[in-house]
Amino acid sequence: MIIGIDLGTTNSAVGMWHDGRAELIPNSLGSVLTPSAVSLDDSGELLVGLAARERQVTHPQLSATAFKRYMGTSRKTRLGNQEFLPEELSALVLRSLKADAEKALGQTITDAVITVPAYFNDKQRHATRRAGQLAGLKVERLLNEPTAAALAYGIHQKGADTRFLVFDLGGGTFDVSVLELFDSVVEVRATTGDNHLGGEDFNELLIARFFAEHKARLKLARKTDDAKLYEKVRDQAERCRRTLSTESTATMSISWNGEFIESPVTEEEFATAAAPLLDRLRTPVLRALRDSKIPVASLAEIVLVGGATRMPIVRKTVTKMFGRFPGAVVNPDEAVALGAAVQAGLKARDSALREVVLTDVCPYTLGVDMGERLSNGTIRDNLFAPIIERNTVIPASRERTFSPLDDRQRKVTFNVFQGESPSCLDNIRLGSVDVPVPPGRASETTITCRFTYDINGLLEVEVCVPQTGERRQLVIWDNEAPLDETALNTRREALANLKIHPRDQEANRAVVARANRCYEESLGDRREELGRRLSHFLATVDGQDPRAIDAAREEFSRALDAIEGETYL
Amino acid sequence: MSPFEETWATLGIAPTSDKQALRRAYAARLKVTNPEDDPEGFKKLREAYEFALSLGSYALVDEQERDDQDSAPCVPLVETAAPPQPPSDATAMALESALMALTHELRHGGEPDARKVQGLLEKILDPANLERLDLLQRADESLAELLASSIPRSDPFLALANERLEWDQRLQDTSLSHFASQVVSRIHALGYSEELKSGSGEEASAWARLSAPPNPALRWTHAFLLNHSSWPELTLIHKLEDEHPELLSELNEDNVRWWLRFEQRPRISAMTVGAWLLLSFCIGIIVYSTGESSPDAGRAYAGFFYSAAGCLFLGLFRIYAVEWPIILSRRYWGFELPQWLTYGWIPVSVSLLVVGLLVRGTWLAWPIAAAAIVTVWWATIAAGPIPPLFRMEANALALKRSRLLRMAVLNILAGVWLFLVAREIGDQLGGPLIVTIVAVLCASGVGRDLQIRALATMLPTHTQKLSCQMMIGAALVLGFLALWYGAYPAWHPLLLVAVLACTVLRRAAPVDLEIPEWVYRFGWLIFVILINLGRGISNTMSGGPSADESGASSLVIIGSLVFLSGVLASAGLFLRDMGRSSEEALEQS
Repeated sequence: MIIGIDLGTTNSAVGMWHDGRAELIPNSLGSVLTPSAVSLDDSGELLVGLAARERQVTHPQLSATAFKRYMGTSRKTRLGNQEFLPEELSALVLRSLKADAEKALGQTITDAVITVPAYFNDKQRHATRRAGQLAGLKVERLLNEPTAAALAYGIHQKGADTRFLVFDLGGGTFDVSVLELFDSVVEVRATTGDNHLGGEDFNELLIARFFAEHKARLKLARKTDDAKLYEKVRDQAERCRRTLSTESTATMSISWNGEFIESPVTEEEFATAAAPLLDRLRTPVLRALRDSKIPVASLAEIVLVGGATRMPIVRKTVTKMFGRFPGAVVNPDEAVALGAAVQAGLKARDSALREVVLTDVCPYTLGVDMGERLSNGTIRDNLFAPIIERNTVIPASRERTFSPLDDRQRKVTFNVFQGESPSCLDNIRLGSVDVPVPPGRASETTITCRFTYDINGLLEVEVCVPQTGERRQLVIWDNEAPLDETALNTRREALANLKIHPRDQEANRAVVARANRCYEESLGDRREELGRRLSHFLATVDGQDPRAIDAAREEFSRALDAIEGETYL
Repeated sequence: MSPFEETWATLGIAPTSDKQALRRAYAARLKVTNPEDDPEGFKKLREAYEFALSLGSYALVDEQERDDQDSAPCVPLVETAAPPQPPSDATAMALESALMALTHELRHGGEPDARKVQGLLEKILDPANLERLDLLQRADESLAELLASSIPRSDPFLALANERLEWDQRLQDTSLSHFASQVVSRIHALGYSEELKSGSGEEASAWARLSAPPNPALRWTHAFLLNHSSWPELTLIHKLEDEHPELLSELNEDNVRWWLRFEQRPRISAMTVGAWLLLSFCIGIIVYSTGESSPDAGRAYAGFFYSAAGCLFLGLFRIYAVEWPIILSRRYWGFELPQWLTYGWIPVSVSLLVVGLLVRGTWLAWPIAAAAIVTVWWATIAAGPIPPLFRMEANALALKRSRLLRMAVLNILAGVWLFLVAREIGDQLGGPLIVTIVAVLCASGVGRDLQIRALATMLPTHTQKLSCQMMIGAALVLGFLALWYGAYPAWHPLLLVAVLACTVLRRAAPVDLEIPEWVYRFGWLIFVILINLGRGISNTMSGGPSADESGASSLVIIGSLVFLSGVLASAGLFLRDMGRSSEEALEQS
C-alpha cells in the first residue's frame, strides 16, 4: 500500500487510493487535516498536530510550526534541550501521519508519495525526501503540489480535452501550473511560483500592524523580544484573518502583562496592507501563462488550491486577473492530499488508473556558470549557461558542450545553478563538480556537461571529457552532503527515541492544550470559569473511565467553542 | 535510420504535420512508455514528439518521395490553435474594436494619423485593462504582430507599447514572441540611429560621413591620414552589421562598399610614413652631430637618405612580402596565421640591432639601425604586425597568459640587449649613441606595453585608470628630465620623449581616460616643443649649451628604470596568475 501525503506549511494530510477513488484518512482527533506542528510536553513527550499547535502559544520554547519554510536549510530549531533540523521536524509530522494511516488500514506502511511546492529547489526536495526516510517511509515519488491538485481535479474530467490553471496559495508557498488534459494524459504545460509567499505572509502583515500600533503599550523594542507574546499575536492574527474571510471586521485581542489590548481590523484596512503581497501573485501567473503558450480565453477552469485562497481578497485578485470568477470545484485544503493519493494509485498500477499518464515539468532553469573572453581579452564570468530550460517535460536529459578558457588550464569546475537570471550571482548555487582536462589547445578540448532531471525533480550532473574518457558524476552539495545509510539510520534512531504521547490520549491533550491557551488569553470571570472547567476535566481524565472522559471532553470542547469560536485547521 | 525516420518510428505513425494526429499518437504511445516505468523510453518519445511538432509543415514532402511505396498521403498542415473565442464582455469588446480600428489605421491608407493611433493605443494599453490577463494576452499578441508588420509606419508608436507590455525586459525569455522581439530590436535601432544622427561622438561623425554622398578626397584622408590602426567608419559598419542590419540601408552604399574594400587591403598609414620621416630626419641629425670627425653635411644627408630608404624598404617588405600573402591565403584557402608570426617582430629588431652593433663603423650600420628602429616602433605601436588589420585576429590574440609569456620573453631579450649596450658605452660613445637610443626605445616600449597590457586585463577599471594616469605622468616626467638634462644635440632625446609620451598616451586606450583625441595624437609633440622652448630659454640665460656626452648614460638609466618596472610588473602578475588555481570559468564552444 502506498499512501499520499500532503506535507503542508500549516496543515498536512494523508490519503490513499482505495476502491477506485482517492480518500483522506482522518487522524486520532477525527479530522483529515493535521496541523504541521511539533511540541514537546513538560515530561519530554512528543506531541504532533492540534495539541502541538495550541502549545505553540503557551509554550513557544517547546514547540515549532511553519518549519517547512526553512526546508533545505541547516537552520536548527531548539525544542527544550534538543535541536532539530526542519527536515527532522517534518519527519515527526510524517511519522504521525503514517501512524494514522497504519491505524486506519491496519497494516504497516512503508511507501509514500509526498507533495512538495512545485517551486521547491533541488536542496528542498532532497530535504523532503530525507524527511520521509527519517520517518521510516520510502519516498516513491515527490509530486509537485499544483500537479497533485490538478490530478485530483482532472481525474474527474475523463475523456474531455481541457486546459486549466491551478492557483495554489498555501501557508508558505505559492505555485501556479497550467495543465492540459487530452486522451487521459495529464500534461503540465508550465509551472512557476514564489517560494516565500503564502498565508503566513498575510499573518505577518497583521502582526506587524499590531506591534506598530501598540508598541508603546507593549513596552517592547522589537517584536521578537518575547517569543510568547509573538506567538500569541501570531495566533490572534491567524484567527483574525480567518474571521475576515467571512466578516467585514475582526478583532485581535491580547492580554499581556495584565493589560488587555484589543485591536480591530477592517476588511479595507487588511486589503490595503495586503496590496503588495497581492501584486506579487501576478508575475508567476503571467509567466506560467506565457510559458505554456495557452491563451487565457481557452482555460476551462481556474482551480484554487491552498487554504489562503479562501481569503476574499485573494479571490477578488484572481477574479480581476482572469476577468471571471474562479471555480470552487475542489476543496482547497484537501485537493493536494487527494492528488497525492491518486498518484499513489498510479504508482501502485491500480486498474482504475491504468490509462492515466501524468507528465510534469521542471519549473526552473538549470545550468552551469561559464566565462566568456571578450574581444579586449578580459574575461566576463558568472554567466549562466542554461542546460535544462524551465518547463521542460521531465524526466529529461540535456547536454551542452564547453571548452576550457585557457590553454594551460588543467581543471574545469562546473558550478551548478538554478534560476532565471543571466548572471549566476542572482541564481541559486546547488553544488559543483570538477573535471581534469588534458593539456593542449583549449579550443580543441571539449567537455560535455549532461544534466539529467528525474521524475521526482532531482538532478544528476555528469561531466565528461570525450578526449580522455574522464567522467565525473560526483556532485558536491552545498552545506551538507547527502546522508549515507548509516548517518541516516543514526538520525532515525535519535528521532525514534523521542517518546511519543500515547495516541489514545491525543484528543485529551489537544483539548487541554487549547484550554491552557484560552486561559492565558482571557481575563477575569472567564478565566476563572476556564480554570474551574479545566481542573474538572483533568480530574475526569484521572478517573480512567473512557466513556466518562469522552463525554467530559465533548462538553468541554463545546464550552471552549462557545468562548472563542470553533477550532480552525 | 535517419533521425527523421526514427522520429516517426518512435511515434508509431506515418510522417504528418497534423498536430492533433501527432498528439493522439503521442498519447497512445505514452500508455506504453510512461515516465514512471520507462524514463529512458519516455525521454526518447518526448524528444520525437517535440521534434515532430517543430518540424511543422516543411521537410515532409521530400522524405515521402524517397520512400514512395508505403508512404501515407501527406496531410496538409492543420492549425490547431483554438479559434479566438467571441469576446464575452464589454471591456473585451471595446478592446477588440480598438484593435480593429488600429489595424485599419496602420495597414491601410496614407500616413497614419498620429493622434488617432496614439488614442487607440492608449485605449488598448489602458493599465486598468491590462490588469486582466486575458486582455493583456490579447493586446500583447495582436499588438506585437500588428506593430511588427507595419514597421516603419508604426515607428512612433512602438515605445508606448513596449513600455506598457514590458517587451524589452523579456528579451531573454523564450516565451517572447518573434514579433515582439522584432519590435524591441526596431526600438533599439531607432534609438541608436537617433543617437547617431544627433550625437557628437566619433560614431556619430562616422555616421554622418558614411551617409553623406561619396567624397573620395575626404574618404581617403580619413582612411590613410587621420587613422592608422582602427577606423571609426569600419567600426560603425561592423557594429551595424552585428546589431542593427536594417540601419545599413540608410548609409550611402558606395561609401560602405569602398570602406569594406579598404578593410580587405593592406596599407601603409600616414602615421607610419610620418614616423619614417621623423626617424630618418633624427638619424640624419644624429649622424651629423655624433661623427668622430668635424660636422659633415654630406654624412648627415647620407644618414637621412639611408634610413629613409631603409624605412621604405621595410614597410614595403612588410606589406607585400608578409601581410599581402597572408591576406590572400586567408581569403582563398582559409589559411590560419601561425602563432609565431605575431611574436616575431621584437626579436627581429633586436637581432637587427646586434647586427648593427657588429658592423658599427661601416655605412651599413645606419640602415640596419634604422630598420631596427622601425621594427621596434612598429612592434611597440601595434604589438605585432597583424592585429590592427584584422578584427578577428585581434580577438584571438587576446589570450591573457600567452601575452604575459610573450611579454616576459620580450623583456628578457630587451634586457640582454640593454646589457650589451651598456657595456659598449663604457669604451666608445660615438656611434653607439644611436644604438643606445634604440635600446631605450625598445626597453621602454616593451616595458610600458607590458605594464599597460597586463594591468588592463588584471585589474579593476579604476585601478587601471589610476595606473595609466601614473604611467603617463611618469612618461612626462622622464621625458622632461631627458630633454632638460640631455646631451648637447637637443634632438637626441626627442626620440625617447616621442616614444614614451606618444605611445604611453596611445596605449592607455584600453581604459577610457577621457583624454581628448588630439592629446592622444599630438600631445607628445606639443610637449616636446614646449620643453625645448623652455630649454632654449634657460640655455640662453645660462650662457650656451654644454656638449655633454654623458647624456647617453642618463638615457640608459632612464630606459633601464622603465624596463625594470615592466619586468617586475609582468613577472609579478605572471606569478600571481600561475599561483592561482586553474580557471573556474568555462568558455562556451
